[in-house]
Amino acid sequence: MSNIALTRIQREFKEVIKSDEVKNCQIKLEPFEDNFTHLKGEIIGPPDTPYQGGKYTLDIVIPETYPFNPPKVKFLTKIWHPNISSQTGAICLDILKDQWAAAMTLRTVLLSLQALMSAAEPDDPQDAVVATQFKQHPEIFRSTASFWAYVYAEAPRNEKMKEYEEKLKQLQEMGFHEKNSRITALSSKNWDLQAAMEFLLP
Amino acid sequence: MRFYKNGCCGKGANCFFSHDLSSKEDTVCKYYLRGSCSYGSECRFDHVKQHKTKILGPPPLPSSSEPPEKSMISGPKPYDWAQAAEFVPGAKYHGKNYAQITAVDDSAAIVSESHKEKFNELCPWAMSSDGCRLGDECQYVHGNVCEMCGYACLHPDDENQRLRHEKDCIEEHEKAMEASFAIARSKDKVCGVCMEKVLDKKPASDARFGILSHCNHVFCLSCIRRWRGQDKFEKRVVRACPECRVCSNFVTPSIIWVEDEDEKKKLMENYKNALSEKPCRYWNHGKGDCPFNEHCFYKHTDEQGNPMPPKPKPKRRVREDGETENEVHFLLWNFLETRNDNSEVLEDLLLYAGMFQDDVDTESDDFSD
Repeated sequence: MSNIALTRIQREFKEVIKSDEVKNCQIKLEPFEDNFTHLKGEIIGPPDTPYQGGKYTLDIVIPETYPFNPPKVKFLTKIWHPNISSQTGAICLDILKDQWAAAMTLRTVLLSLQALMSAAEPDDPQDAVVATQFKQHPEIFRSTASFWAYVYAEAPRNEKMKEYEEKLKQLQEMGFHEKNSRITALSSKNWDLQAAMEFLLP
Repeated sequence: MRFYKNGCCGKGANCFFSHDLSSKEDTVCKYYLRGSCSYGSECRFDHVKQHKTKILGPPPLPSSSEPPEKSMISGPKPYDWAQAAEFVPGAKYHGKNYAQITAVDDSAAIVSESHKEKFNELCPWAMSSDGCRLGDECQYVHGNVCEMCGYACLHPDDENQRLRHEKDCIEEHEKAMEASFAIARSKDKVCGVCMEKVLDKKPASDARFGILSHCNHVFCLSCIRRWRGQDKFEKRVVRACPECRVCSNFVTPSIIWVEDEDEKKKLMENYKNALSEKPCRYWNHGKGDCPFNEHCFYKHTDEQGNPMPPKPKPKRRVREDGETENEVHFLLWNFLETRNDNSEVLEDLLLYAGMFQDDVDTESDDFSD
């Protein structure tokens, strides 16, 4: 790692640790095995969103040319969001691509991701299925997103989840044992049991 | 001679001075003869002038067969060197010419008068931080100590000089204050990219600010130049300030942080002027091609140093069949006969044309080393 990247990451670390967001448990940052090139971030699902109360872990890789090039960030926690791949966790956010600026820090990146969770951009999607649902069935999108938050990100449970759990159970009884695939299938098919079953069949 | 007489001359036969005890010691004060002995009546040497003719009398011609004119032309003789005026530190060196040496006593007195006037100047040593080691013996005036600068710079008899010095001193002091304010202002400025204090960066050549023309965000020169040189991003992304994304056309290096609009303007102007003195490497006296063309900050001249007009840029356009071709470029100048007479109108025209050339790269900063 180049000298400038290393010194900057170390400085950023100090900055993040002292920041108000960390004090308020909004964001968290820690290195993977004392190696500053690979970091683990954590953001809390912002209030008034389906992700509220969820804890989202992020994988951050610092390139050799940091801060002249953006860090490579993806979600490790599964999330249902138009701009984040429900399969890989890849993020579609301009500042992590062509709109990066050298003065941005890991703290601003984490806060930007939190902002992205509150304000999705369905016209510039990473996950087309989620984006379509977001536009055509916003209600289903919201409940699906909060179901994913409950299942994967330790977000609190709500009423709607009982219905979804029921459908998951039915699918399981039909012989589909892989939980993640069942959730993805039902979510993608707007919780239509028949369509999800066809989706899962080879 | 003095050491020899006391039996302690270490030079023996090699001594420059005479070891002849029979010769009579010259007790006439050399400084008195020149009219500049500071001991006055307390001097241990004789203050008499009768020896002068003996010592400085016209030297006999070396050979009677030689014509006198020739001896004059042939320059100083060895015995002239021996009689050259002595150099005294702190005192002005007053070498004498042949006429002065051979002059009679009266003229020597006149010369000494004029010397006294010349010595009415301030001693440069006393004005320095080292001080004058001659102290009271110094032939020059030791001025009064200036309260502002602490040096003996105030001439006791010259009021104009004192006023002038005080004015200079105040100006100097103001400048020093400004400089120290500037350093204090710059000291804690942290680069937004590397997050280090700019002035603490090593090596010292890295401890410079890169001042953006359109915003006041702090960056060190190396970081902002490197950011602007990134080719992975669009031009408008890297030309924008990494903090506020306001585009700036160029970066001005500075060893202190400059934020004030006027100061910044001055700094950028000075920088541009300095660059305009250097020949452009890309232009290469007209042999090369500079991508900045007429917008380049560097000098576009031919080998003789005469300014050269910008080169026409071939523009590419896509033809209907999808092929690209170079557009034929028409220069406005080709259609105008009197370039100078209409210069004002033309400048307006160029300005107007410039408004549509937002994509023209005015950044020439990246060319500097």
